[in-house]
Amino acid sequence: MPARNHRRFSLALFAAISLVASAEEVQRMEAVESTADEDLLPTGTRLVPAREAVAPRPDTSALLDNTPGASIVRNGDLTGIVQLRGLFNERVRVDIDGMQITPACPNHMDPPLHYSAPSEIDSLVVLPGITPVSDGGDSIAGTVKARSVDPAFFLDGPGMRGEAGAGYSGENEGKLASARMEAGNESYVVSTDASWARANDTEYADGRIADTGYKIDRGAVRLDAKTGDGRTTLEVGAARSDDVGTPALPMDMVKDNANRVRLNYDGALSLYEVNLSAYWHDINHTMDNYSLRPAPGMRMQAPSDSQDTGFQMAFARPAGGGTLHMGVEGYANDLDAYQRNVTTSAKQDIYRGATRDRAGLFVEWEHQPARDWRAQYGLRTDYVQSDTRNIQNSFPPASADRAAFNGRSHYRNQLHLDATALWRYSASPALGYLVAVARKTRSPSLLEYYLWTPLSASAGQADGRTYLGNLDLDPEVSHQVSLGLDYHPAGISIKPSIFYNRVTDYIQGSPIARLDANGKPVLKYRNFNAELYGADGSWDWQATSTVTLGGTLSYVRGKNRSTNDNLYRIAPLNGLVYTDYHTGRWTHRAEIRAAAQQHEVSSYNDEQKSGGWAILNLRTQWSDSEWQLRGGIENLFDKNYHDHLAGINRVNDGDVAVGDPIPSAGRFGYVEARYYW
Amino acid sequence: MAVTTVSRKVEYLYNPPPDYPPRARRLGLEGEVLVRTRVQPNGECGELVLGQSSGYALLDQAALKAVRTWRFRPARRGDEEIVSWVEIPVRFRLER
Repeated sequence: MPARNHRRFSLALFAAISLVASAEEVQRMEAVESTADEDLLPTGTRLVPAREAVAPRPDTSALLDNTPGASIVRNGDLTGIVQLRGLFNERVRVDIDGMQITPACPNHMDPPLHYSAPSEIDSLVVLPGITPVSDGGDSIAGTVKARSVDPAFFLDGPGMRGEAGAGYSGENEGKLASARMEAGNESYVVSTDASWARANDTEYADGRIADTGYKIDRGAVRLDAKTGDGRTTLEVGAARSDDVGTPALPMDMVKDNANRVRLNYDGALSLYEVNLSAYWHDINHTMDNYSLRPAPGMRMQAPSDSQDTGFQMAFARPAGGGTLHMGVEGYANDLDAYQRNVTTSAKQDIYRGATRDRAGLFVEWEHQPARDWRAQYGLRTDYVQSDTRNIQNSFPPASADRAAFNGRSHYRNQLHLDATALWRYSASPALGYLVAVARKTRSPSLLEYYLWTPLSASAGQADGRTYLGNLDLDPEVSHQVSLGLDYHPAGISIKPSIFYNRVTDYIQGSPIARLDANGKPVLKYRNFNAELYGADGSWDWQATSTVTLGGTLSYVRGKNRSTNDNLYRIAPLNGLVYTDYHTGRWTHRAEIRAAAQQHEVSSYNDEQKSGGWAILNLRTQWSDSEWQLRGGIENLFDKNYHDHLAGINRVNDGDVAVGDPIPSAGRFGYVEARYYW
Repeated sequence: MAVTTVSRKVEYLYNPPPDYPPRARRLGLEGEVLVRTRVQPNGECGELVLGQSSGYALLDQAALKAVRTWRFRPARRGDEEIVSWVEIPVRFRLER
């Protein structure tokens, strides 16, 4: 569905009109076209948030829900953790305008996409599985790249433009507004982005889901300058969230403040295309177990701070009949977190001065080895070092754990070697085959290494268990292969892929001979061998000049080969089928979203099975060059169902029992209007 | 003064399309750039300006860089080869 392009379209119209005045002097030549094959990816989806037919939500991860190979692990309405082909958290690289963001919350209430508003994003690229090494590093599951809108310069002299929108979504009385302004001339543009969203608890078919409301504000100011053959960008931004409920976790995000500064240059230097970027991103996060839910006997609060600093230098140039990409990347994370008993003021460190630094180097060459063939080869190395200070504050029962942890050296370093090779063969203009193989490496996270005493901190596993870190972990090494088909005769597109991923030293919690307060074994992070395989893809068919049919499908199976158990929290077979009807400025859509039952669950953390479901959504959109209006009804038949990845309720309030899966929203309507000028 | 009409419009002589900028391809950027240039009597580009941006600096720069190297058959008024402005749409399109 068209949207943000309106602005460009209306500008073109304006330019065309202004040319009429000088038509006798300017001769319009025949257009010249430069074409290239889309990036060499076995699979991958590019989403333009403004064009996606979804209910208005301030949650960027929600846009990925129907993307082949992608699913969202959700512990609350603003905590979407991306899962690609069955792997999630640090295994997925999330890149927001070149920034890598480490959640401050030990339970990832604030995953990276939390810090990027859908209204700020121009495109969202989802690469499940094998990604080029230039987009990878220290990740084994794939990459999600969010890119914000690059404002166009004002070539006809000083000017202003902007857009504003507002929306309402009925399942939680969610209100959302955003605005964007750009002002400048042919060499400079100053732009601002602001968005605001509020929501109450979500209603499902049988009542209210407690502790699911939120408040979030985001904003950025940015300056773009034309510098020589390129563009330099300086951006300052912030995200503030308050009272964000996370019913699948033991606490809620009561305050989360993030600030960022980003500097970027895109341009050319002699034969090279150059991208230079540097950033600083800081998160102050506080969670507690009493502000948004019935207070338990022991009221606890946990503040944390995560600071990311990084840079990247990437170069591309023609070489050997193809293109050579090279790059250097540096990244440092500083993480502190503690918990505090609000009644006694006793404190216990979770992380104390923990650091994780990474330096990466890659080279990638893409060329055409023969007619109808294209190939891409990449090599990458990353050096990762982690360290932490001794634990100082501990609650009395953890004294022995503290002594044991402080008695050991904490410094760990790893050298990764990653390699990828991708080939594409075009058997005919309408039929392409894709083959990709890769070796990828990920080092343990600070949590996996340094969680020094059993806590219910697990990067958002939300299984109700307590976890313990392990200083003796090895990095995960993934060997994967992916085969794809790209069949697109006139009016039809079919893109299926199959994949196999063998992960050596897969890190997972496993029971030890020590019980937590609930009498369940503590889960200590250990290395195992795992394998994942499956298939995903998308199709669409332009049935008539006004009707399009399409859909997506994703399936993954994950096994721990060392223990013969299933991997935890894997999305079941799921998909989407839609039909679009275009007439004039209207587009109407009917879609069915469905998921199969998930019975392949993990026994090590008592994962519950889930049933299959299907819902019907109806959507409509009207747009012209200035206005875009949308509305719809989701879950038309008010089905009571739950997404397998939605987590288990821990809040004794509302209509969902503690220990039951958190249901999805019941029937609700939404509207959204956006105006461009 | 009598106005003589243009007897020949500008024509392309040498106009290879610009290379697709690798990073633009990587980022999936597509668009149309309008380049305006003053074609000199000798067929070379004189002044060169961006008439309409594609919205992406990478594509705009690639279009300008390419057009700068092009050669044209200049416009004529009577027997005289004259200076004239032309506007060139340069499209960048990714094939899927």
